Amino acid sequence: MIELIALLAIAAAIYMGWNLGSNDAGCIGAAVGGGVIILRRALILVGIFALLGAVIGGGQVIQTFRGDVIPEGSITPLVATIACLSAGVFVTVSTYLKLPVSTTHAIIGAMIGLGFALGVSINWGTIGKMGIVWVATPTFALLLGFVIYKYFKKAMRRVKKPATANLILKVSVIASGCYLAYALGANNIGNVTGLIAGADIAVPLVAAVIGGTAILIGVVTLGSRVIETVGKGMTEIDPSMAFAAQLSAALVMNLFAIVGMPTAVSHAVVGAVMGVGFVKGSSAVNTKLARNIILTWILTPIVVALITFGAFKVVGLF
Amino acid sequence: MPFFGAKKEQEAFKALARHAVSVCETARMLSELFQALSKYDHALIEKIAKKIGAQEYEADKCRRKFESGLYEGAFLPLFRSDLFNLAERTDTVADEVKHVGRAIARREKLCVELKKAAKKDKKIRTLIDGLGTLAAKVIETVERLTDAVKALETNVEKASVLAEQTSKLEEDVDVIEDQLTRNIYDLERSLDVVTVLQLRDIVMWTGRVANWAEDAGDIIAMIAMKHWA
Repeated sequence: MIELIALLAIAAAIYMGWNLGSNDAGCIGAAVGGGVIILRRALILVGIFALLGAVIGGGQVIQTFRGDVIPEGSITPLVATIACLSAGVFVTVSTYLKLPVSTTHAIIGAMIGLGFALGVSINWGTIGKMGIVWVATPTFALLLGFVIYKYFKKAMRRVKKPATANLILKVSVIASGCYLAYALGANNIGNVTGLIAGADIAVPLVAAVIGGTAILIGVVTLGSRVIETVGKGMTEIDPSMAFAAQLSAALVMNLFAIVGMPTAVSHAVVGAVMGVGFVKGSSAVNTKLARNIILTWILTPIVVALITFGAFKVVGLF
Repeated sequence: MPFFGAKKEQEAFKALARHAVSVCETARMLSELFQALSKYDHALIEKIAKKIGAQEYEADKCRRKFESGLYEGAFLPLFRSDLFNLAERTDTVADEVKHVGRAIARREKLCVELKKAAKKDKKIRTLIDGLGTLAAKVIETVERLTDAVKALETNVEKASVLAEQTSKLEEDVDVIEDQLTRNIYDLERSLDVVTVLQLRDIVMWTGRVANWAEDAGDIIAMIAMKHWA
């Protein structure tokens, strides 16, 4: 019976990973939209680099999920299954409704819900730090986007040969897209398999491999839709802008992965694109987008916490 | 120092420059064409018009080769479309030269009429010399464009400066073209109506060669602005 529950927990984590892969594959969308790389190659690159990020750089974030939010001993395979399914279903439904939600915010909400349902102490200090990180993500990305784009353009002006400039831009856009995929894997792997590591179903490295593979499957099976959408939406973004935005978002994601703080890739990208836009003299901030982001920041953890709490209580009846 | 891996792109720029040189060779034939007209030698005009057609075909072949290389995945699409447009516009220069050749060669009576009128009115000779001046300025414009396209391979700023010079030369062509058209209308008593209209068309089409060169130069300026401004 215990083994079956453990398998269910792994399946739920894979579902979460698949969700993440299919939703966040857009990190190389600018390169596809700009025609720098064909879709099939982009999908393979994103999948591989996200897997690498999960395995190589995901350790700290997995550790945060293991015992820094709710006590490690309270996470059982059943608890992990309920949390992953609650967060996963919420993300799937939101994606279907075209609502921009973050898997990070969803899984943290699920853990808060679990904490209440189990009656264990929730580490509000860690939650508070995460809140700061969620605000810092677009802010840092914006600042980095501004600086990187400004100096990259300056450096590119010194390149007199168009053929060389063309090659530099191509390589930069693809490389920064791959780095963003790596940073996504490293930062968000905890969302996927942090709980199965916490439930001692798998050691962190194995959990990272399982989660990374699930992300890769998500990218390859359903990522094309997101990549194409992001690509089409970014047609106004030239290769220099795409490079600066991707690199800035990747640096922020990677930095927070190193300190074990999970955050949302979409927010990093939005912040970075805004920063790049400021260099171009675009002072108009998309207020609708900003409002949506703030709303989802607040609502996603609350709604998923309630779903998880409810689901746990219903399961408890049996 | 060539940047590692940019060989494909460099090759494309070389092909683009070869095309521009081929177009320039076509434009240079305008000089021979108008010299033949000044000798009232229709047979020679026909021969040169055929040579222009053959050279224009060579330029076309260069353009096709460049364009097929352009789509082998070496360029960013944004850049690719600019280069494609540049090749197309440069090619129009050669097309227009071909039209000028045909416009002169098509009517044998033009040489006869001009020769006859030149005996009665000295201004006809001045007009024919003016056509030579126009051709020389048009050739200079196309040569400057060719230099700009060639410079694009190594230095985009230099290419942009040369493109700007192309535009200034085209303005000079405009002035000569306008003056020549006025002169043609002034000579309507010495020439028959068809010859007047034919000469007006020849001047207009010759001027257009420089117009297309200027347009191609504008694309070079735009490339510089988009990618390095």
